[in-house]
Amino acid sequence: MDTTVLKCPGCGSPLPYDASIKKWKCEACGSVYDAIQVMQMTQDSDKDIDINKQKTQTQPSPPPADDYVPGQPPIITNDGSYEPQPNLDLYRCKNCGAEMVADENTAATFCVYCGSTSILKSRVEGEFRPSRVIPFAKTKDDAINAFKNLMHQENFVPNDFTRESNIEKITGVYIPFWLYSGSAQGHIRGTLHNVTSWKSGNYRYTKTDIYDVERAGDVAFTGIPADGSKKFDDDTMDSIEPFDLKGLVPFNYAYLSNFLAEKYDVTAEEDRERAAGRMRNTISSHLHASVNGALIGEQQNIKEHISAVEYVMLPVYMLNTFWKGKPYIFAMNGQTGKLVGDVPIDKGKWFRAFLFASAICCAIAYLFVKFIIM
Amino acid sequence: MTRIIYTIILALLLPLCTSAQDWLQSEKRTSENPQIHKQDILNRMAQDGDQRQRAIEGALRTPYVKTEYKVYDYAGICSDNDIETIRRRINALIQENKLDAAIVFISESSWYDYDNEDFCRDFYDYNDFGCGDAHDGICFVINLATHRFAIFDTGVPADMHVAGKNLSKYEVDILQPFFRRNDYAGGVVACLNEFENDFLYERDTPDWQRPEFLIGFGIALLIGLGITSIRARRKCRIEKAELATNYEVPNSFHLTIKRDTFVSTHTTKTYIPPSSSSGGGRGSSGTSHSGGSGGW
Repeated sequence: MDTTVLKCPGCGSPLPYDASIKKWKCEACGSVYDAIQVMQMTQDSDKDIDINKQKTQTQPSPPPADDYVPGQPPIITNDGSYEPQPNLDLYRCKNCGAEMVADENTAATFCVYCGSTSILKSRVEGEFRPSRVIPFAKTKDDAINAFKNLMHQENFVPNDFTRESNIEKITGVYIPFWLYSGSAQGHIRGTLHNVTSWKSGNYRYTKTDIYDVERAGDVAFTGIPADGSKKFDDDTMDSIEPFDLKGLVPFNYAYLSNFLAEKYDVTAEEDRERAAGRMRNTISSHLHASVNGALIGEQQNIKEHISAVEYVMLPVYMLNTFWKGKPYIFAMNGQTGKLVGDVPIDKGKWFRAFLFASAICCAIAYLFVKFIIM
Repeated sequence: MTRIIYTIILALLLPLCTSAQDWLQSEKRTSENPQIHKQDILNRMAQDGDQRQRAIEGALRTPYVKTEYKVYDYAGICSDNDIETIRRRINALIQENKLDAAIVFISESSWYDYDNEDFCRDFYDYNDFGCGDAHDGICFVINLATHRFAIFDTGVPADMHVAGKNLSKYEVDILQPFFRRNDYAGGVVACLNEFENDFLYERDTPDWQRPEFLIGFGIALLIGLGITSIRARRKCRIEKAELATNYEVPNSFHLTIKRDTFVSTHTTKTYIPPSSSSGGGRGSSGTSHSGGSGGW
């Protein structure tokens, strides 16, 4: 399989993308290249590709020790049993010649020996070539700082969580997304009870006006994202939205330099319902917002129409960490810096805070009852 | 024989003298001698000029009565038997718990230019009611003309707000049912029973056993739990996206149908019973009371 490493034309060192200046900067000689120059380079490198690939298929049964394939160690779980292995491919780093292993969906990965990014070009070609990409606008340092700030903002975070979470492992990943464009139409009908009440003398009057309410409307959407990778949790990817789609630029694999990347393993058709559901919910929300109250006996007819789907790669910083044997996932939008994640709660801290708050409230309640009520 | 005749004459003259004394007492209140025996009121009158003037005015507006009668039926609603029943209950209250009581029935829309509440407080204050230094006791005024009543306690019960806190209960559960069937003596006796129970409860029950405190502590624990839970709520939670408003084409939402067709209307009318007013405050004498007024 074709791998490539983006190299500095001046000194031959790996040439990573620097999100802070939105250009490619050689860390060895300091040369800086813009998108036009790098695109020229990637076209040249296509003519000089060293292919060295071994591809092996995982055995369905647990592999015996003497079936060990270099670069493809068996996966053994904590309880000693074998897990089914994904299809793994063996590649040779174009920069240092070392062998690398990547699963079948990896489009760009790091060489563990020289640290350079190897881009598996076949994974971003043909049907897997994204039409556009949003380049990283946030650096890894931004992601680390955002994570540390989050730990300071949240309450009851275990003291050892930040230390054990190994935040240096935060990695920038280009995640495959489908962008759905289309429209939704809706029609709702129901009964509305408009209730007004007033007091006169010793009587309270309650007037109920009943209306037959009908609403219909439509709305257009462009670029509703749904991630096309099974590796990444759908809700996590939803939570780092929104992406500013004005930041999309034509795809060039040079943008993958210095980052990991995945190709899609969920098709546009399989992801369609996620976007369609959001379209239907949105038009329903608009129609109900135009009604001054809650409808009774409501009838709904809501449809959506998806007119276009686009395959893109969007930037995300990911941190998967374990604390006390439980996984915690953090994700940061590599464009906007929005960070989401599960932060564990220290039950001891929580209980002490509960006792403290309750003691203060009990003291206030005692004084209130003693001197105000009694 | 002469001694016997003198004794008979004296025996005949004695009730006349007592009546004359009553008459004299009711006539004796003047600005110079307002006939106030309560030392605390006299002290306040001596210290504060405004308070003194208000107290004298209050005393002059208040009928001067013999406190041992306990029941003053200016409305003529009670039988002798009723009055005796109430007096026995009051005497038991005095002996067992050192709590005095004055019950006044009137049938005027206004009484000496008083409202029921002021009249109730002043009637108790400017006559020599009450047990102990703080003049512990309770006063009822029942106005048959307006179907309103006032209840105020004084002294230790007032410090514990016995009548003030339980006014609604007295009104709804006791006085209204009795008074609506014209059993005024029964209502007053039942109310005195309940007042005595409430006084004993307030006096003898420690704070931590009272439902007010238990409920307060329960609410405090819930608030503590709420505060802690809100603080534990994560700011950057992972949530499934339900809407796509961020990806709408600007101004692309159009309402093609917006129709509200009026179908019908109806109006309901609900009677609101007049509420009792509870509280406390001071009468013109400056003495603290708790209680309030209500109706039936």
